Amino acid sequence: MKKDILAVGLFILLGFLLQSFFSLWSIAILGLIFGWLINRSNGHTFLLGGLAVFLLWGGYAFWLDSANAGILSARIGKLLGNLPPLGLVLLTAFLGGIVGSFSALSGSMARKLFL
Amino acid sequence: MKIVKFGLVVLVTLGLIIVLDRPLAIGEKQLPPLGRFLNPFSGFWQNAESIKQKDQQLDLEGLSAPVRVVYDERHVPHIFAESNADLFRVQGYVTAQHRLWQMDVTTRMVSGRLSEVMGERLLKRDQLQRRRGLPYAAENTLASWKNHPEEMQLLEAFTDGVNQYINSLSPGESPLEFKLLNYEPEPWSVYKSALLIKSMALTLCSRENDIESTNTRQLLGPEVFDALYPEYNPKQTPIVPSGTAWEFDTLSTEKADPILIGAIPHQPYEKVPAHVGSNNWAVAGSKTKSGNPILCNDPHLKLSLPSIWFEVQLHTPEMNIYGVSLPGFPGIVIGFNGHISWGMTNVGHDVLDWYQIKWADQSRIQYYLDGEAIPVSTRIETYKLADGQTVIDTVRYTKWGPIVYEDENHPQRDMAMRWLAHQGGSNELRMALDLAQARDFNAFEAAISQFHTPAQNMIFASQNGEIGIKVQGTLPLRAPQEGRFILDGSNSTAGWSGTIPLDQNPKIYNPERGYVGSANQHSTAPDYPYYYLGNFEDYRGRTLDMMLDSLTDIGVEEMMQLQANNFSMKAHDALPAMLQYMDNGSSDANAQPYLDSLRSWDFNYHGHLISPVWFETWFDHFYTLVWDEIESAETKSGVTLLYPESWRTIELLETEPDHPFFDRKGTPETETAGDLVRLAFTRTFEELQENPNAKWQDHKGTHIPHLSRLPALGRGKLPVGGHGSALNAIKRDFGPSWRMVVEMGQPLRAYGVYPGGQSGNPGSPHYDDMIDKWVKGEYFSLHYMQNADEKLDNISTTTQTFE
Repeated sequence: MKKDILAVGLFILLGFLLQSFFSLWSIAILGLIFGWLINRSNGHTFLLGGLAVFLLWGGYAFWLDSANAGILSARIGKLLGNLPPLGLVLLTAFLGGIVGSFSALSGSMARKLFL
Repeated sequence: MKIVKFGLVVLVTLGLIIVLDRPLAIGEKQLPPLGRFLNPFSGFWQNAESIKQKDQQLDLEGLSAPVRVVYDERHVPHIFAESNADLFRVQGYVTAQHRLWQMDVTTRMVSGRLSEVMGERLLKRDQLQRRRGLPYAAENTLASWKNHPEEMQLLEAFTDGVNQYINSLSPGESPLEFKLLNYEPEPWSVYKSALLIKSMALTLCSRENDIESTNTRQLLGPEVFDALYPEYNPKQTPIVPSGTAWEFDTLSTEKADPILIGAIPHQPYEKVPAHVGSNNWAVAGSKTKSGNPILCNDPHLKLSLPSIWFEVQLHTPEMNIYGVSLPGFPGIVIGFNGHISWGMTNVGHDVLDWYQIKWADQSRIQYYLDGEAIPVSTRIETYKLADGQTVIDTVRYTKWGPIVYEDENHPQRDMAMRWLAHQGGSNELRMALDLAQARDFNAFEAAISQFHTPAQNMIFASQNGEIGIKVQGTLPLRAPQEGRFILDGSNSTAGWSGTIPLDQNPKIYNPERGYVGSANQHSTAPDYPYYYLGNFEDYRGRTLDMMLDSLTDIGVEEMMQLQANNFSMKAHDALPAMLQYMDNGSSDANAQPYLDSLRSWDFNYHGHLISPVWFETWFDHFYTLVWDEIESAETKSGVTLLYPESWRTIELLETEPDHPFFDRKGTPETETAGDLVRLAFTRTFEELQENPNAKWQDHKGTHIPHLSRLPALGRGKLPVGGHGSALNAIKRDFGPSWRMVVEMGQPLRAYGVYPGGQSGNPGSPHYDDMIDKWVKGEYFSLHYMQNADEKLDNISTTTQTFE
């Protein structure tokens, strides 16, 4: 449990750094490495990888949205089919989360297959 | 088995990343790549700027001394620089920082480059702009700017400022619209500033009715034509009052009779909307409470977000000007300098004519001019579409201008477009710099003489008590009626033969009546020695003169109220003439209360009233019934005709109720005006009975769309009154784009508001923060700062320092 929290925390931190310079690919590569290194069951890794990016994307979006007092998310939400601002944060988190989950799963399965 | 599963998972991962990085099409709707767009590190979340603004230190290359920019509570930049070059470099940077996408899309629109980023569906639109010769016009403008090295250097400094901002952007920092439409900013250039000037010319001086007039005159005959389409409204109060002595030697415009061309089948094509207009006026100290002149201006343009104007103060040791700028051009357009103030309204003179070309060969490479075959010159236009395709198009240019339409069946296929704005020659930046230095009317007049097109009614007031207005711009020297109809392109003497000498343009200075003003009406009474034609407004100017004649002891509040005045001369003229036929009441008792309210209506288009809806609907039905002959002639002949102006319709109603045109062709009876008025009222009730109590503001539905037309980024129905024929000319999506009132005291006091906000970013608190005040007809005090350290009372500012 402790190790999981630490790993997810590290993922978020490194993810934040990488994403500040690189596009979506960087998070997938990070997920792959995370999945390989964490050495847990596939299902567990899938959840943890997803959780990490979910928190990273959702948390960052939430933080930006709060600093902006929701001005932009209200407009973009309307644009994307009347999503409320929080819905837009969750959609963002979920999209990031899926990429995190699948890339982490890829890493986990690769380890089990090739190591 | 395991390896298959693994392969699948890897595929899903890769697939996800690829799909999320691609633009999506859901039906007609184009969505940006979702992963990129939602990625909080580079997508739209990055445009959610913090509502707490912070001071900034920025590096800008090419500055000779540090420049400070103080932003006030509405985010108006007050730029303090040591030299003009530094000033404009920073103006470029700061403008781009707030309006980059608007600058990009506006210049793409004019230069026909939208299809490059938005795809083939915009190709037709692009082609029309290019074939009209807009890039050609901008090239000519740029070439003439190059004759003025000092101004050219400043234009380049501005351009460099824009480009240094663009180069500073990481992909995540691009303006939101680039992300939504999925393309990248590209460098700015002086040529683009020229394009912007031409986009204003297109909006302001490209209206004409040549084909419609030609057809109508041919079908109705010259006598009926002259009777229905008089060019001058006797009720009009021109900008320069009638009876003015014209003390100059008039140039001759004598010519052989123009050759008239027959009716032309004409499908409707995209014409510049008739909605633009503006008011400006200046009252002398003799009419004001304080004894200082007051100058007011409100240009009516397409309402849009981001707004057409960007407010700014520009300060160097030599100048201190405040006003609104066009995002993409250095300096300001409308504003003041501490000693004088100035403003503009559009001059409606027709400066665009169509010429019928006689081809000398089948491939249309040569055309006849005075009996000789002359080769066309060609211009190749290349379109690089968003999907990678390249489309090449050749445009033929004649002595007159481009052959705009090539399509086999287009009625204008063999016509050349001659447009004054195709030529360069204005030195807009020099005008702005000289206006910044001007202290009196002479200096003002000298400064504006460097501006040629689109012609503007330029108004002026000074601290030393002067007021004045001049019709400024190059105007064609025309023989009577010349340019009203299609011209013969094979005759080199057809059409305007030169231009009116600038010093003979109409103007007035310090008139006894104590005010000057314009509202797009005729420049002069018919006693002006030169013939001109065009589109002129018939109602606002009369209201303006009526109000200014009656007002005394004027303060800025009265001037603000006048800008928001909803009184319509159109209703004032038409409604009593219509009501005189309703003495027996409405044929339907249910409509009677509405008729009664119309009787007591004071012709003000206030948003909360019902009567304006009833009057407008009633007048429209009446108008349609009166001109049924023209509609059926159109259907029968298959050509487009000109409809008489509303003022002429009202005049006939008032003076000739038995005119044969009031008789409806399809009925056995002989109707007169009264019959049509009553029938129109019946139809009005039929149309409105479902919702007879709709308020004018809901009926009109004024809104401010975003330039991309995405509804989520615009502002919906606004509770505003006003009408095109009222000084408060707020229509559905046109209206006062900047309201300014300046009292020329010591120190001067200025007030302003526009329907938008300083930031073009929909994620900024300053995106639309002025709209509510604009709706209410309220104003902001403009902070005319004297130095960068000045403290503004109770106002928190932020500062950008450029080094």
